[in-house]
Amino acid sequence: MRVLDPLGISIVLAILLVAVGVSAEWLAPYDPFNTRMFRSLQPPNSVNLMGTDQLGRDIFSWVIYGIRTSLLVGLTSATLSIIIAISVGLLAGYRGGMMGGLLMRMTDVFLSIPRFMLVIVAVVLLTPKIVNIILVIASFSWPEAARVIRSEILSIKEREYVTAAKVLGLRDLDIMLSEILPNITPTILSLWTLVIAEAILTEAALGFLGFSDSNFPSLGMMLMMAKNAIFVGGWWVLLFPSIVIIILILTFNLLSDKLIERFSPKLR
Amino acid sequence: MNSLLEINGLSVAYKIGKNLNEVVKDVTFSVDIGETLAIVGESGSGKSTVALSIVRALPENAIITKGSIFFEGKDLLKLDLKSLRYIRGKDISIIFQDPLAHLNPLRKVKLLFKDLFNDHGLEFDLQRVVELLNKLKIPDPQRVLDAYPYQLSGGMAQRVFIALALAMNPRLLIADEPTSALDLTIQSQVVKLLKEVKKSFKVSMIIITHDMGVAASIADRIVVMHNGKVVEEGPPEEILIQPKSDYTKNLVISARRLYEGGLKWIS
Amino acid sequence: MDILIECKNIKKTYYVGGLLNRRPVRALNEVSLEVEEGRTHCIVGESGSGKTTLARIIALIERPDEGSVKVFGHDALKYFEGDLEEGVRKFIRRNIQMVFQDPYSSLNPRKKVADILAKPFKVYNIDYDKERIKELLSSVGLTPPEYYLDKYPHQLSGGQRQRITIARALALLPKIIILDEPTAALDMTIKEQILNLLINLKKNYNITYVLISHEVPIITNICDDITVMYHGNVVEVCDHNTLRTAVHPYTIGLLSSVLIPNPESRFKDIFAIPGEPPSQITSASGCVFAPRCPLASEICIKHEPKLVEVSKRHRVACHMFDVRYFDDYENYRKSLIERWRGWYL
Repeated sequence: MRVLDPLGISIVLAILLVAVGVSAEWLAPYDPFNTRMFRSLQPPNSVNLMGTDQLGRDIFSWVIYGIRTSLLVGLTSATLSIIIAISVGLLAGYRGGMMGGLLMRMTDVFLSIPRFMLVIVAVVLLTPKIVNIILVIASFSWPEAARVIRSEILSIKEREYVTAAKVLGLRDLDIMLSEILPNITPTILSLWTLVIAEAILTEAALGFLGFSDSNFPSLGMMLMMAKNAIFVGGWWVLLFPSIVIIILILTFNLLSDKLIERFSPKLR
Repeated sequence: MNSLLEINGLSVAYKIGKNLNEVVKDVTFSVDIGETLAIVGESGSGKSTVALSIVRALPENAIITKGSIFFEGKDLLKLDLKSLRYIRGKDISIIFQDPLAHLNPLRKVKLLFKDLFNDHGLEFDLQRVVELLNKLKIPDPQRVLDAYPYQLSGGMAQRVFIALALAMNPRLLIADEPTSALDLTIQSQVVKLLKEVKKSFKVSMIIITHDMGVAASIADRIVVMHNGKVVEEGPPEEILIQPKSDYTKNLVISARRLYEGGLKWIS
Repeated sequence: MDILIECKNIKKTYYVGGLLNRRPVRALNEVSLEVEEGRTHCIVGESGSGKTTLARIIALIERPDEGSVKVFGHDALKYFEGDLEEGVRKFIRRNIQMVFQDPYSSLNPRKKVADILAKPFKVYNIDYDKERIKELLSSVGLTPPEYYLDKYPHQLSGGQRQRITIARALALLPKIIILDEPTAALDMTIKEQILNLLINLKKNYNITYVLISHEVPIITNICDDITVMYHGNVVEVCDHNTLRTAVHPYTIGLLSSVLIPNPESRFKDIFAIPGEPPSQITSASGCVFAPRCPLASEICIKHEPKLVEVSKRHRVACHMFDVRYFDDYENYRKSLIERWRGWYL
C-alpha cells in the first residue's frame, strides 16, 4: 500500500534517479565525452542504445551522466537555498520588523525581473563552472522560499502553544527551534523538492543555451545538439534527453505535491 | 396523527479513509405539531448529524445507512432533489451556530431575502420582510436590509439568520447550536427570541444544544443523545428531576451542580 | 495577605485598519486590579471587555501603554526592559504560569505529552525523571499516567488536553496560574470535572488563580474575588459574598440572564439585557454602559464614573449608586429587571 500510492511512487523514483546518478561510472557503457566521428548520428542500435549525436557521442552514456549533473546541481543548490531560506524566513517571520520588510522588498525585486535572465547573466559573468552555477541558482531561489516560510511562521507564532512557550520562559531562539521549526517541516520538505525541480530545469536551460560546465554532461546541452540534429532526421537526439528531463522534473514536482498532501490533514 | 416529523431507526455513518464510522445509531423520535423539542448531548453525540440528516445537508462523506424521516407523511430520505429543494427553506428551515459562515458575504441582506423568495418562485414582498424583521425586534429594519452581513453584530446577524429561516413560514425550524460561541447576554437574547418565535409563529422547533440550561428554558420535550444513540427522552420535569438512565443522571447532576452551586440565591 | 499582583490605571489601545485609516481600539481604560495571595480572583466579562488583554498583561506577555503593573513587588516595566537581576527575572517568570482557552491549539501538535511536560523542567534546568512526569499526570487526574506519556495531542479528547495544559502550568508549582476561559470549549460534564480539579489543586498546592471567564456558574463556584469588566472598564469589584448584593446594573443583568437547568425555567420569562455591547472602536465619553442602562441619566452620559468603595471588598463604578439600595436590595434588583423588560416593545 505505501509503495503503490503516488507519494510512494515518487519517492521510489527519486531514489532510483539518485542511484543512477551515483553509479554513473558503472552504468554508462562508454565515456560520454568520447567523440567518434565514424559513429556520428547513428539511430538507436545494439551498440548505442539511444543512438549517437553529431559528434558520435553515445547518448545513453551522456544521459546517465546527465542525470548525475542534474541531480548534483539540483540537490546541492536546493539544499543551500533552503538553508538560507529557513534562516532568513525564521528571523523575518518571528522577529519581524526591519528584517521582514527587507525580505519582502528583496523578493519583490526578484518577482519583477525575469529571474532566468539574471541567472544567465550571472553565470556568464562568473564563467560557467559547476560551482558558480550551483551558487547562482541557489542565490536566486532562496528569497521566494523564505517568503513562503515567513508567512507560515507569521501564522504559527500566533498559535497558543507558542504563547504558552513564552509564558513558560523559553527564549526566542528556543521557541524558534523547538516549537516553530517542527511545525513547518512539511512546508520545508515540500519547498525543498520544489526548488530541486526548478533547479534541474534551470540547469537544463543553461545547458541548452550553451552555458553549462563543459566538464559535466548536461541534458540541456544535448538538447542543443538536438536542435540541429532533427533537421537531418536525428529524432533520438531530441527524444531521449527530453524524456529524462521530464521524468526528473515530474518526479520532484509530484514528490513536492504529495508531501504537502500527506502532512496537511494530520495536523488538524 | 399529530406528528409533524417522525424519525425511525436513523443510522448515519461517516467514511474516513477506508473505515465507516457510525455516528448516529438507530435513532427514533418524533416531533408533534407546535412542539419544541431539544436534543441535548455532548460533542460527538451525533446530535448535529441528526439535524443535518433531516434537511439532507450532510457532508459528502456521510452515508445514511438506514432509517426513515417522515415529514407530513413523506419520507424525506426517499425524496428526489427537486422535491427536496421545494421543502428546504420553505417547510423546514435550519439555522446554525455561526450566522456569518452561512450568509453570502457578497449580498446585501435585502438581496438575501430576494434570493430566497425567487428560489421558491415567489415575488419579493418587501412589506412582509419588514414586518418580519420588526416582529423579531430588529431595530431599524431598513438599515439592516441595506447592510452586508459582515457589517452586522453577532447578535443581529443571528436575528437576520432566523428571519431568513422564518420568511417562508416553515412548519419546522431547526436550530443547530444557536447559542454556542455567543456571549452570555447575547445567548439569552437568542433564546428569548426563539421563545417568542415559538409563540408568535406557531412553528415547531428542534433545538440542538449541549447546554441543559438552554434546553430547560425552551423545550417541551428533551431528547438526550450519547454516542449516537438516544439515551432518554421526556419532558423537562422528568429529565431534570428524575432521569432514568445513568448517563442522563450524570449529565443532569453536573449541570445542576454547576448552576446551583453558586447561584441558589438567583432565581 | 500579600498582594502578588497590583495593576494601577492600566490603559491599552490597539490599532486596526490599514495605513490610511488606522483607528484606535480601546482595549483597557484605566483598569486597576489587585490579586491577593491565596484568593482566587475572577475576571468576568464578555467579548470586547478587555479581559483577555488584561490577562496577557498580567502574564507579562504584553505591556500596557500607560499605568503600572507590579508583580511580587517588582515593577513589570523593569522585567520587560531587562533591568532586573537574572535570578529575580527567572523567579517572576516561573511563578506566573498560564492555562489557555483552546485545548486544541495550546499544545504543540508535533510533541508527545512527555516532551510537553518535560519542557518546564528543561527551561529552568531542574532535574526531573519519568516518575515526576507520571506524578504530574496523576495529579491532574490522568491515570494511568503511562498511557499518556507517548500520546500526541490529536490522540486525546478536549478534556484530556486541557488537563495536560493544566499539568504543564502546574509543573514547577508556580505561585500564580492565570486561566483564560479554561472551560469555555468543553462539554458540561467535563467542565465540572475540570472545575473540581482546579479546586483540588488549589487546596493541595496553595496556588493563587486569576481566572478569566464569561461562564457565570464557573465563577460563582470557585472565586473569592470578582472583577466585572465591560468594554475595557472595570464596573464592579466584589467578593464571593458581596456578589449576592452586586449593585452595578451590568453585573445584575449578567447574573440574571443565566439560563438555569430546572424545569420551571420554561415557564418563566427569560431575561436578557437588551441591546448590544458597543463596537470596539467607539470611544464615547461617559459611562460605557449608559446606552444599555435603565438608570442612565445626564451625568452618566457625560462623565465616566470612577470606582468607589461601597463596603469592605466591594467597589462599584456607577454614578447612580446609592447606598440605600442595600436597605431593600431585592426591590432594587427587581426594579432594574422590570425597567429592562419595559424596553422590549
